Amino acid sequence: MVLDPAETKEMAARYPERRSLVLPLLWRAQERIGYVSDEAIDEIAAAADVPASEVSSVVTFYTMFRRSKPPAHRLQVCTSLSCAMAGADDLVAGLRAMPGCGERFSVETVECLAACDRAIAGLYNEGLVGPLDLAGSTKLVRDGAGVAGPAKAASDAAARAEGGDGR
Amino acid sequence: MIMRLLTDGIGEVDLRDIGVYRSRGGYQAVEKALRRMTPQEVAAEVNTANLRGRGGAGFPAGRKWSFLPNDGRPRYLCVNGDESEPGSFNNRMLVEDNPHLLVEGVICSSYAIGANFAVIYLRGEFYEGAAIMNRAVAQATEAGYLGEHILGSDYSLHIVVHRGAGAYICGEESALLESIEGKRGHPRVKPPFPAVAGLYASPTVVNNVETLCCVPSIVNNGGAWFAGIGSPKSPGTKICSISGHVRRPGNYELVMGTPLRELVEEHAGGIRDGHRLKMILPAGASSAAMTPDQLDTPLDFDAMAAAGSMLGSAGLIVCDETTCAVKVALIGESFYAHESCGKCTPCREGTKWVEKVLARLEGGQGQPEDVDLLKSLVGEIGGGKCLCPLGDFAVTYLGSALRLFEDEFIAHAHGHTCSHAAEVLSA
Ligand SMILES: Cc1cc2nc3c(=O)[nH]c(=O)nc-3n(C[C@H](O)[C@H](O)[C@H](O)COP(=O)(O)O)c2cc1C
Ligand code: SF4
Ligand code: FES
Repeated sequence: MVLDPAETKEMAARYPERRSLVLPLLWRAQERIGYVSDEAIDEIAAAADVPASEVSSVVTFYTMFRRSKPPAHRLQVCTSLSCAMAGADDLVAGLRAMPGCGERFSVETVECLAACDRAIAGLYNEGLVGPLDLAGSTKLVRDGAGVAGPAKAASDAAARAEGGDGR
Repeated sequence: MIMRLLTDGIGEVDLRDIGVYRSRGGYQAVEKALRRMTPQEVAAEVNTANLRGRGGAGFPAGRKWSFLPNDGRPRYLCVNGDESEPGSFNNRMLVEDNPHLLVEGVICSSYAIGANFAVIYLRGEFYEGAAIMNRAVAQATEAGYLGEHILGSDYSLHIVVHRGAGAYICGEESALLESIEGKRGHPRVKPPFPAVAGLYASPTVVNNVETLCCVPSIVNNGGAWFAGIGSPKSPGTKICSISGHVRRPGNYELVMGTPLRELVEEHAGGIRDGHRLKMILPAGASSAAMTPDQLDTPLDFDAMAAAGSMLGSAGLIVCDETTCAVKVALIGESFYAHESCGKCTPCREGTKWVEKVLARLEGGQGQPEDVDLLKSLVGEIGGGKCLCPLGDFAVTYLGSALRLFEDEFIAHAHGHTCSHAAEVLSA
């Protein structure tokens, strides 16, 4: 059993129709075991009252759902325009050349994270990070620390909203 | 000119705390609407305000709301917080730093359209935003602003925060509805429009986060007050997200109609040292480029359209002279080729083809005829031939760059890799 039936029931009560449970339950499954397993797909299909094949096709459509466990340290680097202009491709190449890449940690590219003011922006596991440089992100993937975390990020953005220097 | 209607207090106090938010006048719009106004009166104020949709198209919210048929079916409000257009990042700030303003806007708007269920759809990457939003909804429920019989009235409202999972196309309103219904995010054939057959085939309004965040101040101060701010035909403020080669990238809330120059040179601090402006993509990667001679264009929906581009969601990407126009096109096209949902042939195949041609041009492997090929592809993919506007988005910048910087494309087509290519990536 991947999902907690009591929690599923509680979530179902929030939506007018059960089929809306597909995405929230996929997220729940992924939070619990790190990926979406066959067992999870069957449970979600039953809970949302849709065929398992449909749940499967939803999993493949959305890039954030995974069918296997990710490495413990996972850095996703944005390579969309503002981050590319700040050197994202070089950063990715530099990180990928590091020993341990692909085993102890993974470096993936993603599209704009809506954090272009912090270019080069990234997601370290579930936290928004940036601006990233090679030194900072090397530390990050090695020991999972060293770059401004999400809380700091929010206050930076906030300060900038005032129209002043947020840094 | 800076005017902080939606961003007031951000960076000074913790507006995520409902106590702090309330101490600054928060939830007074809900009190006023539910205690002293009918739903029709709230809708009428929004109509008078001429609040135009901040999600990109600038369609008046009041008019959109008026399309809902009165046929007894339940009505729904869906908040579009998918924010995935490269260059846009103001919805994320509102969700993370002023979540109760959005909740308050959703309550007032749901009341106005007679919805008892609302969905706040956030893109999957907003992990922190979703947690913050869920906390805000829980606090508002506990304070009696959500749930059954709000403030002792007959009105009830439940909000769920629904997370996407990495698909740009889910920002298109009908794809967003599919996603809430647990399906792949494929746009629907229109008509019927969401107002008639939206979520669960019921009448539905889809509005952007920033649009709905304007509603509390309209309820508090009146539609006529809002209509008097900024450009007469695009009233209110707009949070402009500016990034790229400027000294102070960030979000700046400006009165509509503020000149582009003021944003770039004053608020964003101008172009980084020793460089000069080449072009601006004012509505993210999918907008027509603007050039330095257009810096006096007022930032509002109509003036930006008249200047040949668009305001969109005001995610401005500023590029200096080191930027290669071909490389920018390639980066953009890779995005659209990846994000095409695959339903229409011109969009699915065309974006991949354009990407391939741009890649070989950019790499110095181009052919002289590639420039004409790109021009004809722009015509074949764009011009509203596809089911949804993504097909047009995919070639808008490219079409403008082929006009403005044709010489760069031609040089690449003759095997000269861009003299700027190295700088673009190490800038
Ligand atoms: C491909 C595509 C992506 C879109 N992405 C978004 C988005 O991320 N956020 C948004 O508010 N609107 C987006 N839109 C526009 C929506 O379809 C819709 O017009 C908007 O949410 C309406 O809200 P508004 O009237 O308040 O602006 C997108 C449209 C298309 C075609
Ligand atoms: S234009 Fe592209 S994204 Fe839009 S429906 Fe067609 S294939 Fe999908
Ligand atoms: S371009 Fe990288 S976060 Fe937007």
